Formats: sequence, structure tokens, C-alpha cells
Amino acid sequence: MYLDQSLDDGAAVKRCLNGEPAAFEVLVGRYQQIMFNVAYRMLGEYEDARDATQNSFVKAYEKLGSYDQERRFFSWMYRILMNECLNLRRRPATEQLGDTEAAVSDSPDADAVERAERKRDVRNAILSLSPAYREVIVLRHFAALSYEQMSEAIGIPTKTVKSRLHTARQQLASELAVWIKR
Amino acid sequence: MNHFPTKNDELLQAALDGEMSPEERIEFEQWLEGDARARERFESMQRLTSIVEDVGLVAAPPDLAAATAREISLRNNGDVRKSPPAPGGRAMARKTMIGLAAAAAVVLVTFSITGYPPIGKGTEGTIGQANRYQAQQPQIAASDVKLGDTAVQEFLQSDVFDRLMKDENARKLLSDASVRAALADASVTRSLRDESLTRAINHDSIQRLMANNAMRNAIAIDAVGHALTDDAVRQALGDEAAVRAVSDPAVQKAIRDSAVSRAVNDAAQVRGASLAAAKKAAGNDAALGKALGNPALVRALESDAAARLLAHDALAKQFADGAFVSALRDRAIVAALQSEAAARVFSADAVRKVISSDAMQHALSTGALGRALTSEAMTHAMKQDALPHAMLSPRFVDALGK
Repeated sequence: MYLDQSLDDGAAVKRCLNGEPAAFEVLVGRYQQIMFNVAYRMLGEYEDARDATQNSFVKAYEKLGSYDQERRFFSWMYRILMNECLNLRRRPATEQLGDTEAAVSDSPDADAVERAERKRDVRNAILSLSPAYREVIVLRHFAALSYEQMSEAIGIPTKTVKSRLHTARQQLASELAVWIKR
Repeated sequence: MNHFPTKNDELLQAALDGEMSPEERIEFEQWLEGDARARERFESMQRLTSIVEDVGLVAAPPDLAAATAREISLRNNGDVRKSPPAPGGRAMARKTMIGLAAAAAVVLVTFSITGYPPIGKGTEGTIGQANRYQAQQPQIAASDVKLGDTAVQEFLQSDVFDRLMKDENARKLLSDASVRAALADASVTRSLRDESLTRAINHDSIQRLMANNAMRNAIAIDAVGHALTDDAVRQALGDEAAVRAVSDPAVQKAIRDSAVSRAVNDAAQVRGASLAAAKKAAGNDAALGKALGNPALVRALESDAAARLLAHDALAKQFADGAFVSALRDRAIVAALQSEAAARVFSADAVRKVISSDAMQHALSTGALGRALTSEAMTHAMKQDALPHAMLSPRFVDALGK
């Protein structure tokens, strides 16, 4: 079935609820990348992120009737994803990180090796943050959300978003001081 | 409360994130121009931002969308309308469930301190009970009482409150500091008006369950707490057999297992609260976890009949068996097995042995047996004592196995 990919979120939800489940594919297509990346940065494990993302979409579909269409679909979806991530949460296995993104480190180029090391350290530093601080860093830097969007997605006031970002960055700056100075 | 150390820190961050008003930008640029250390800090934060974002995005698994569509299709037969809207905001969240008890605790303790109710009419019947338990209450400041809502009055007049007063274990639970802390949430007071919640709490078995320390620990698990928001779970908890099973220490241990917790988060699975009985019978966490991960089983548990059937210890031993679970997908079989007579038959060791036989599982998997079992004549026959009795005879059992 042909589906207009430009269908806005609200229209896609309505079509789903009106018995056209294929319209949900538009929403999955639109948000799978960002949801997967958020999950991946929150969990640090590719397969866990995959599970969390897939489960979130399935649950979103099943609970679509409870979605308040006054809210952004992303924000609603994001809360479901975070619940999934919390359910899958585990102690970050930082020593295992990098498997998915390690290809560049195989390059013999010294700069590329250094960059790969830096990326690994950054990923580990992000995972070392508490979930509340990790969340704002991920949403800001990997989902490019504004303060207001983050506020709605997380369900906290904008000023709390800002203060959490500030603290999170202070902690990251401390962890990554050696890279910042280079 | 603003946690920024200085106004300049806030400006610096807003500049970094491109979230400045024109006025703020002017102020920020003036600050930078006259402060070399500020420039240095700003550059340092820009560098941090740069190296963080250089980590980049990871491509989502190429089959994620297709796998999601498949899973949705499997669970819902492609019809989103099969998932009804959540009623009343799913007020049975863990904190609200505990919250209702917390409300009772606070009111109870307040009575013990003040000796009179801080509310209006209609509570006379409960005051006396409160006073009777006065000496046993933990010390708590009157300032801990946050509920001035009419919901409190309604609650105090309810049977729930009366029952809580009478139950020593419940009183211990209600004196818990974490329970009182739940009162800080507005949803707690809202929950007092949730009739279905009140009905659930009013159930004897639920009160015993809530008084059980191990169960409280289990409820503290996010996944389990989340599961408690589901109507179906609430209904399951209203079932005496299910609650008995959930109260079992072995089951609680299983609930604390992460794999099981994840599975429990699925409402369909929890709907078969009798899976706890299966766990008890199987005596093997890994097997249960594996079984719970089986989508076929999840679908089977959507049936009340299946849940009832599986609540039976004897049959529950087959729970982790793929063929058995597969057979349960056949709604005809499930429908046939929901009668009490059938349950008696299938609880017999001999019959259970037959069920686990290859021949029987093959018969179940073909659907033909299911169709036979659902025939009107068979259904009628199963309701009579004679047929189940006959089915338990060694000869019949032997025949089934062939």
C-alpha cells in the first residue's frame, strides 16, 4: 500500500486508529533513527538499543488509543522508550563499548586511531553519567532537541533541563579534560 | 530553583546551545569581550560540544522497521483497534496503589496523635478503630499529614479503611516511610477516587499481598510497577488463585529476575498471573524466563481460559514446553479446556504424562483435536462428571497416548 511519507504525526495516528495500521509505518520510519540512537546512547549496547526501540514502537502502537494528540508524538514515544531503557538498564559495560563503532580504529592512520580513542572515551564518559544527566546530553547532542522540546519529552521544567545540562557538561568536561586540552 | 552558579554560566550555556534572545546575546558578547577567562571557558565548552557530537549517530538496524511491523502484526493481527484506549489514565500505577495505602497510614497515624479526625462528618465508625490501634502506631509528626482533600473523607468511610485498620500486617506496611513519601504526589490523592483501585485494595488477598515484604520489594521493580498499571493485571490480582501464586517466595524470586521482570512488563503475560503457579511447578527460573519470551505463549495468555488452565500446578509443569505452548495457541483447544471438568482431568498425573507425549502434542498441534473438543457434544459431555471420570481411567489414558 502506498503511504504518503509526508503524512504528519497526528494524521498518521488518526489513520491508525481508524483502522489503517499501515499508517504506523510512517511513524516508525520517521522516528526509528532518532529513537534507536537515543536508546543506544542511553544503554551503550547495540542489541539492547534495538530491543528497546522495537519494543517501544510495538507498545506505542498498542497504546495508541491513549495518546493525547495535543502532545508531540515524539515526546510521547520518547517516554515509552525511556521506560523500555529503564527496564533494560544494566551496569554500563564500558569495556565492551566500541564494537559497533570500532571500524575506524582499524585504520593505520595515527589521527584516525586517536580519533577513535577519543570517541571511545566520550562514549564511556557519557555512559558514566547518571541516567538523568545522560538523558539531557543525549537529547541535546544526538537528538538535537531544544530546551523546550527536552522539557516536554522528559517532563521537567525548562530551567531544570538547563541546570541538568550544565551539571552534565561539567562532569563530562572533567572526564574528558585531556581531550579538551588537545 | 535555578542551579546555575552564576548568570554568566547560564549565558554561556545558552550561547553554546543557540538558545539566546537578542538581548542576551548582546550581554554575552560584552562579557566575553572584556573577560579573557570567559572566552577561554567558552572555547573549552565549545570544544567539549564538538568532541561529544563527533561521536556521531549510529545507523539503526536495517531491519528494525520490518521487524517492528512483524511483531505488531503478530501481536495484534494488524488491527490497532484491538488495543483499547487506556481508561482513566491507568491510575493503578505503583505509586498510586501504595498511595492509597499511604493515605490510610497518614490518617490512621494522625488519629493516634490528635485523637480526633481532621475531617468532617461520616467518620465516626472509623475513629474508634483508629484509637484502638493508637498504641501500636509509629511516631510521626502531624505535619506529615498532607491530605485535606474530600477524597480522604470518602476513603475513611470505605470498607478499605476499615479492613486496613484490622490487619496488623497492613498497619506495619502503612507505617513505612517510603509509603508516606508517596503522598507527595498529586496522583495519590487522585487515586483515592479511583473506584476500581478501591475495589482492588479492598480485596483480602491484595491486602495480604501488600503486607508481604518480599512482594513489596518486587513491586518496587520498575517493570512490575509498570505492569500494575494495567487493567488486566488488576483483574488478575483480584483472583484468589493468582494472588496465592504471586505470594509464593519462589515466584517473588522469579519476579525479581531481570528476564522475568521484562516479561512481566507485558500486560498480556501478566494477565496470566497464573504463570506464577507455573513457575512454582517448574521450579526453574531459566525455563520460565524462556517460556515468557515465547510470543506464542504471550498470545495464549491473552485468553482467560488459558490463564485459568495454566494456574493448575500440574499443567503448569508443561509451561516451558514449546509444543505444549504451541498447542495453547489454538483457541479452540483453550476454549475446550476452560471447563472445571477439563481442569480436573488435566490435573491428573496420568493425563499430564500423556500431554507431554509426542503423540498427544502432535494431535494437539493439528487442530483436529481442538475442533473435536469444542464440538457441542463434547463440551456438553465434559460438563458431566462421567466423562472426566472415564478420561481418568487407565485405559483411556493409555488410548490417548497411542
